[in-house]
Amino acid sequence: MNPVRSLVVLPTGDPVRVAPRSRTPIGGDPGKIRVGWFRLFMVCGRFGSYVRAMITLTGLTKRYGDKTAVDGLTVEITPGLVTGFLGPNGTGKSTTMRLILGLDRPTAGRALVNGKQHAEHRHPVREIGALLDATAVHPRRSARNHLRAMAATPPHLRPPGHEVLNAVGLTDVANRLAGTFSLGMSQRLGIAGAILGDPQVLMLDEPVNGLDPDGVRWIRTFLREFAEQGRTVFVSSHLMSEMEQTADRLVVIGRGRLLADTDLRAMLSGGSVQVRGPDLGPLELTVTGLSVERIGDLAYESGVRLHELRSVETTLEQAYLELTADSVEYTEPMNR
Amino acid sequence: MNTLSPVWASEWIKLRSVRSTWWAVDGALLAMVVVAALGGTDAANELAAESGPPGSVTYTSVAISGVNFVQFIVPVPAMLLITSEYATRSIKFSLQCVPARKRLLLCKAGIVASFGLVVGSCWASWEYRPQCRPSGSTGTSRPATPCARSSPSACTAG
Repeated sequence: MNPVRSLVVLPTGDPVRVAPRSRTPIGGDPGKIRVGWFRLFMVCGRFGSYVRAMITLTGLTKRYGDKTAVDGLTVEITPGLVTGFLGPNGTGKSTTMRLILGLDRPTAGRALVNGKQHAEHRHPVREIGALLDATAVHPRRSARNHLRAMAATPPHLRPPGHEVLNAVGLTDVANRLAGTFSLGMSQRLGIAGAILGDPQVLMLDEPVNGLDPDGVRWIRTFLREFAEQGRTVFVSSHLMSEMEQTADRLVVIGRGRLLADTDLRAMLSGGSVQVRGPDLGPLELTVTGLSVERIGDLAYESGVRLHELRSVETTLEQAYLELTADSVEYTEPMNR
Repeated sequence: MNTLSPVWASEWIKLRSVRSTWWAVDGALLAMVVVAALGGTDAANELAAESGPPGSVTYTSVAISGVNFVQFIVPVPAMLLITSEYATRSIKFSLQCVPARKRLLLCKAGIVASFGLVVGSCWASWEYRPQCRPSGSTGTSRPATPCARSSPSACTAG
């Protein structure tokens, strides 16, 4: 059985245990449920609705007046993977996350967390940890008190001790007022709040905003480890390079609609080859759909001299820009 | 009620962990003392001018005269507890923890109401304290002790 405790490596290099919880998830590790009679009995006892940790969106739609922010989104965010959530500005990423958390009521469709709507959970902090807006804390309340107020809501949750604060690297500044924090520190505080209940699902909106390189690397390892424990990570970002390194799976939306729901690798496949040579004229050719070897062989067979034969990998940025080219909401005016 | 108590605890942490709450509490006490002092001097001057009979002004009426004014200070933490959450958008965190709106707002209302009651009772009884020691050294006139303690309004001068 997979231990629920998570080991996190701090920027200082020390491994630290985060988010202590006395509760053992009934049914064992949600990533691989082994069917045993006792366990099955326990599972049925838990309102008969124990499901794998995940976010399920079915036909999720949100309209504000005649503007459709989210348009029939049907996605399943599965456990064990870091799922990246991409899309141009103003295409409904944050709205989707708000709908998942029940901060907005969907016009149509449903957003379920672990099989239930957010508000139906007895202790939602234990089901889903979320960070939507890191700066949305009372500026005159200390970080520690902010976390204590959050930790008080589900009973029997230990008040945030060193573990959570250590895990996000805020131990030294825990008693400072949240208003004096930099954006990066606020992000860390928000993440501390998200992992407080040791949830099975983690949902973060732009978590790397304002973090220093150390923090970026820390959050990358943190999310990867969280997902490797069979939990669900759903994270939005507009930093493509960051997504390329963190995410296993990508959900891309544009104008509220689902554009892609694929593996990161599938998204990156289909590179091109740059070819240059004196027999080809002054132009550099870009060849797609053929391997470097095949082009080289073809050139040799037809006696064409080549001076350059270079494989160009598709970056996530290119793939993303091609995908979302039609759905960018705010662009520069073409001519003025 | 076991679903309410954790929310109650959370709201209590929120209420006491900002300074504005304690400013309001101190302010309430200060305002009560100031108003009582003003009322006391006023009554003393009036009595001296009119040389009214002893017992016509009670400690209680003077001490409690600040309440009318102070009750406008008590709602300050009450308002701040909810408005600050919307102003700083930290209501998102609150609703993440407690998605049941009614439960959250009920606990917020309950905690400030109880807090106001406790603080108000403490300050009022602190001001009422001289009544228990009828020495008359600081007052405007000799108090009609038993009468004032049972029903202050019956003893006040018309």
